[in-house]
Amino acid sequence: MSLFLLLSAYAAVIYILARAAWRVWLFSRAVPDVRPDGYDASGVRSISGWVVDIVLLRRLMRQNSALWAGQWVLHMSFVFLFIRHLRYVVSPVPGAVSALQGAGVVAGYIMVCSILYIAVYKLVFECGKYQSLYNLFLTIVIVVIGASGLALRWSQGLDLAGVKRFVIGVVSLRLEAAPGDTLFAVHYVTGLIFLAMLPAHVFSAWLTTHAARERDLSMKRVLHD
Amino acid sequence: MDGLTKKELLEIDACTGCRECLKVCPVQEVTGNYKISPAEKIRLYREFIKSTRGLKALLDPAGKGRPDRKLLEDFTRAAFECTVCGACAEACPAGISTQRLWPVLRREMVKRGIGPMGAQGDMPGVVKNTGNPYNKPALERYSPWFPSDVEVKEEAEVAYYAGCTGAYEAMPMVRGDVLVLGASETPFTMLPPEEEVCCGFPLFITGQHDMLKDLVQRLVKSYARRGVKTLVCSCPCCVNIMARDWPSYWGGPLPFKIRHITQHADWAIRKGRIKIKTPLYERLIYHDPCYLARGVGVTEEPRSVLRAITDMPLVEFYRNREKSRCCGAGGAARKVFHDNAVAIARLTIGEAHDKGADRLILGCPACYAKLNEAMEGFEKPVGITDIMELLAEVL
Repeated sequence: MSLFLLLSAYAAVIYILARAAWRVWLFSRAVPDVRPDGYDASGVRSISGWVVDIVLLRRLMRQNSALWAGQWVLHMSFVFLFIRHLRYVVSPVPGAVSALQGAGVVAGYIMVCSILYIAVYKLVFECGKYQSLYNLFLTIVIVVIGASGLALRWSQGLDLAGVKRFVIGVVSLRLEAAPGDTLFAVHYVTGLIFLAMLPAHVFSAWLTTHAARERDLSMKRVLHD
Repeated sequence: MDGLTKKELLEIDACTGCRECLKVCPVQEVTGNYKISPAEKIRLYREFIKSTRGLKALLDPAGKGRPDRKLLEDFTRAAFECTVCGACAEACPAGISTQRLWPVLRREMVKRGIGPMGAQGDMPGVVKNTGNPYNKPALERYSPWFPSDVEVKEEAEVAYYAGCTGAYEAMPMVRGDVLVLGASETPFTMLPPEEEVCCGFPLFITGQHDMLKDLVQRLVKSYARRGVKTLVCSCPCCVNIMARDWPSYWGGPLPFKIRHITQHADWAIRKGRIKIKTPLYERLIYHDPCYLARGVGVTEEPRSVLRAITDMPLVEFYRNREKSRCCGAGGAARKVFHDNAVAIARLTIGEAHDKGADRLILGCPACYAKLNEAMEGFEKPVGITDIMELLAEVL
């Protein structure tokens, strides 16, 4: 079991690195950007607005506030959950990470509620018309991760020190015994699946949002110079 | 994908699959065909990239670079049935600039010999022979509609570009433009009919970019020779390509500014150069052309002109300004996908009718041609007038 879980992690990492390398190769073949006249709108106003666009998912808020509510809460909970799980990967645990453990626990509950809210909104209120299969798959994976994580919190007998030893072993290329808990294995493997299948927009949407802000700010200048 | 920029590659990656674009896509509204939706276009193009540049293609020497035929046909249909109205870009939470991305993807298909559709493929030859995409005689570009009492100078700081669609398919519109220019006491020049060739937009939008540089160079040099400092255009599509893309093909900033005719009219009214003799007492509803509102951000000048014309409050479409609904004429799809175009146009006409408007006011020759066509036999009639045609009525 320990070997299987260890190799699963390395397979996921190799897949992630291969995806990244392929994209870097594709981008290296890109032709130069041609910026049409009137498009350039850089500056403090653009950058600060862009940060707000990212943090608040402002474009989605303007387009669909009901969907935005669930998506914003989901994305914020990811941030706190990521910070919470750092305690298993680093030793010693920084003070800031320890301080946010409580918030991370709450984020776990919120994440499950928010993903279920989004699923109900998409499948019931929008009658499934606006749901991609890929996103449906990710929704199921996130629900399993969240549910197994919450179940682990309440389960008796999980060896947290053993979990940390195992995860540190994965990170430092050292085989350590994995906890024999099935729930842990489910949580761990679905977490790896989620990381491996991480949507590409995580790396690109914040950049296209900046370009969209530039476009919006410069729009009035195109024919009003 | 070899001809895509980093920004375009990022945009193809940035789609979150939220499908908000489907809610505003006019082709979706009339066909319900998910396969030609914005999100599906992005997904298909990702598959296209993987099939030609992915691991499977790289490991398969026999099939390398040859995408699945069905995939190509699906994507080509999706890409060319689109009206390129850009409503999906406004709705997109990731800010993907679809109004700019779709012509690029069409160009990539054309480079591979898999587009454009139907009569669109004849356009380069037709433009080369006649100077316009409608295969109409160049010498008849102005004569059927140009008012005899308006003077055109040989040289002037302001020039008027009628545009092919206006000159050949929306004559009352361009006639109104010229009457307004004349009434605004603005000396203006125009190129001779055989010199005022296509601005390149129909070729650009169908992915056939080879002739663009030549067309742009010819037009810019012709206007520069006449001392032009401001080029006033009738058509939002012309305005769009001139302001956004002509600098790239010219090799630098243009020697003149680009303006839409409504901007000139608004300026002339505010400066007192145009006097409204007989204001109307009619309920007017203005349809924002996609390439004027979303393309170059001109939304308030047309409304300012209309407020000067009518004493009644303007009626607004539910979706207006940057969120305006497509009229169905865009993307060079109106003749190839005629049924879609008429169905989309009737949604606009129907809303104008239901809101009790006396007249539906337009600012684009393609909208003008299509909406007039769609009105025939439609059970919800409403008067259709171009904004400059209307202004010329009340001078």
